[in-house]
Amino acid sequence: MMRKIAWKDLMSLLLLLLMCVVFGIMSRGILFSTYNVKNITEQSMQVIIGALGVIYVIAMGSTDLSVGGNAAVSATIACVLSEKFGFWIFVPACLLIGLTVGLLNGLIVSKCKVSSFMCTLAMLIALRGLLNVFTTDAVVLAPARLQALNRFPVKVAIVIAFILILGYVFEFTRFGYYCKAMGENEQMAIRMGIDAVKIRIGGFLLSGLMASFVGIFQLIQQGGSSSTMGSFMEMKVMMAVFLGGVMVTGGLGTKIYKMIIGAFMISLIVNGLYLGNVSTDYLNAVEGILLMLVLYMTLRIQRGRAAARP
Amino acid sequence: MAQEGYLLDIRKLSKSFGSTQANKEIDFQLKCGEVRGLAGENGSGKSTLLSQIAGIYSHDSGEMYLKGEPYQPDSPISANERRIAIVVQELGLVGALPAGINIFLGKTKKCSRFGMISQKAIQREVDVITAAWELPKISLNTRAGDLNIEHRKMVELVRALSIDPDILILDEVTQSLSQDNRKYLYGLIQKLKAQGRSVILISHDIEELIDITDTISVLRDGEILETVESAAIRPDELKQKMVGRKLEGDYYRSDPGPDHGDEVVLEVQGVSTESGLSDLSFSVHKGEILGFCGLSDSGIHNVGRLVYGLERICKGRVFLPGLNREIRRQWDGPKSRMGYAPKDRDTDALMMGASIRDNFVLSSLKELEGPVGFLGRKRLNRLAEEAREAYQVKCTGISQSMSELSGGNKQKVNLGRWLLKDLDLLVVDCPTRGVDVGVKAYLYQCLKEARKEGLGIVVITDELAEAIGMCDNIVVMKDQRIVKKIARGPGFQEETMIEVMI
Repeated sequence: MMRKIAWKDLMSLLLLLLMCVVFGIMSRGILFSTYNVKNITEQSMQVIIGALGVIYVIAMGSTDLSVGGNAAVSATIACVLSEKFGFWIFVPACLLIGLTVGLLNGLIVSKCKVSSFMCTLAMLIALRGLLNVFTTDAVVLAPARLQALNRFPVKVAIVIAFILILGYVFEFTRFGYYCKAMGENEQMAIRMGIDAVKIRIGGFLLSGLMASFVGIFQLIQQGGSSSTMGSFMEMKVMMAVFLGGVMVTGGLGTKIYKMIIGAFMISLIVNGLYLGNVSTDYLNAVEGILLMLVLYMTLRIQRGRAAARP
Repeated sequence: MAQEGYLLDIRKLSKSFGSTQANKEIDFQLKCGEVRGLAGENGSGKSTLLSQIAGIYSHDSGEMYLKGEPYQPDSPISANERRIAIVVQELGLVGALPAGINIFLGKTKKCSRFGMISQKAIQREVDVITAAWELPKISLNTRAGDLNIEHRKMVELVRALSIDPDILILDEVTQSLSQDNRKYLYGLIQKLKAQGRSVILISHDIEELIDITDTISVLRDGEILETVESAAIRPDELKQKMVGRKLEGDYYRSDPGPDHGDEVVLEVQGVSTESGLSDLSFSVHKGEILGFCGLSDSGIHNVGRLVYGLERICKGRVFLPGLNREIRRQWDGPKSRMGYAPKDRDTDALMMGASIRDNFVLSSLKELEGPVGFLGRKRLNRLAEEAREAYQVKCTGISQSMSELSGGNKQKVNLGRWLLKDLDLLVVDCPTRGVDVGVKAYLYQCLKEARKEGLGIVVITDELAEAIGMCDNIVVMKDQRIVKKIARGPGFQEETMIEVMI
């Protein structure tokens, strides 16, 4: 029994390796060049940071679609504020806005019993609108001091630190356990003395916080904000979690390492198709089809578990 | 090939799941108008056999004949077409749909016009069925998921009757019903029988099984051991046949009077709730087992929820003198050295998709925390492993999925995870629902031991024998009120209780 499960979990890693080989051949080896590996890692890191927060929400069977919008708005407003009041305000402002959005999501979902899908979708639309207010008539540039962080090793170190901290909380603490237990069976969770409202708000807070970090990372990379900043980020983040083989309903099968594999898969597909000389006209269509295929394969592998939970 | 005269004739039917053989060359014959009971321990293959007859599972080998013709259903729908209907042990309704739609699911054509389902037509059809079989009226517009387990079972029963079955299969249905609805079911069985239709049923209530059936087939380890005349067998004989060994005497308590500590663990004072409970007062002492009995709408199950803080209180208070604390809201219960094992364990108590380990440890996570909130895998595994051994859960290991366990073993986890903690009070709602005699005896043993160690226990039960056998004091409820409190002693009999219940 144990061995069977381990084998199943390993399959998504094998799938990732297979994709490496295929795209490696398609790009005649360019895929493995130092520059490109760095590039893929860079792309994956943003997804991982976002997914580290969202995975808590997904574990409890909810969704957070506002990640991209939250990232863009919190980073952009923080830029505007830091221009006025000085650089010191940038990071606190950014995180505070991210947390506020998360808190709003959490309160609306848990107190008003609105489905998280609808609530965060509405939040996404609102945030996108808000972003336009700041980006239509003025160019928003990232504070110059922020560029000091734009070094690959620094970013990798930060991401690893995030993975260690949030991974620990998710896998080895009561909070993480409770999030997952709520995804398994919320009625049961309440009877077990789990404060479902508090835990749910906590999950959305974390998701909002990590979204604002995604904003900072994007700002560092792009040097400024635009009206398209962070668009589709929420999709990439959710995709990463599901590609790794996590159930849409959450639960105890949700694992951080699965999400990391998923994040690399997404970046690899985008990057590999680009290097493989797929015409740009078809790029997104092929990307979509490939994603669907990978998702299907992951589900096939996990079927034993899925069948037990219709 | 098929012998004449049998309604259903099964030859050498086998079915295995992976390496476990659930049914081994089963031979089974059913006459018209026969009421057949199946007896056997959890995991002896009763449900598997019925599921094959009802088309839920396909068989590996063997043959089935219905009225002399080959019968090989590939789905419950094709079984329905041959007029065989089942009410399953697990919950078989679509929770998001109204009860009425559930009844005619897949057969809504009858009740619809231009593709629109007519509520009136459904109501009419259901009224015809309930009137014909003298069943109580059921509310059709409530979402099935909002109905309690008992009403859901009644809805499923009406659905099974809606196909006008020749063979009705009831898989542990009575266990979910309270006394009054059981009466309806017994009447229904008699009517079916009088019309020459047959019934196959499973019940872990041995006395009941003997009472309502004509014949009983005993299953053990996937084989039919023998089929006996119900009139010619005594309960203890049958129990012995089921488990294959002699059960040690009476598994209930034999002491004559109430016996518990003086210290009050729980004090309920004049409580009324939004759900309708009115003016409840009672107290639970250290080492006392307090039972709650009543008919289906008497509110006994809400008492459990109330004590645990899951009900909204309008008046009065639920008080824990030991902790000097009041129970007002959700989460108050579990934080107050209290445990609660709900009646509907699959949906309310357990994580079916998770492992046995995760189900065991969840209630004890706080105690297992190390520095920086660390929950080490080793510690969790050790607790689960100890609990699995202590409560004799039959499984391949603590990482086995909960959904693969039989009802009795699920219940051991459900109770065990509370019993392993150091608690003052435990509320158990129908602790032996869907549990065979062997496990039942074991669970009673566990409760008796916990009581001896000073745990106050509230037992809410639909089975009077269980309440009489286990409790120090019994509270009988009717219409959301307490009508009588009886202490262990001469008045402790089913008759006296039923008298005040109805």
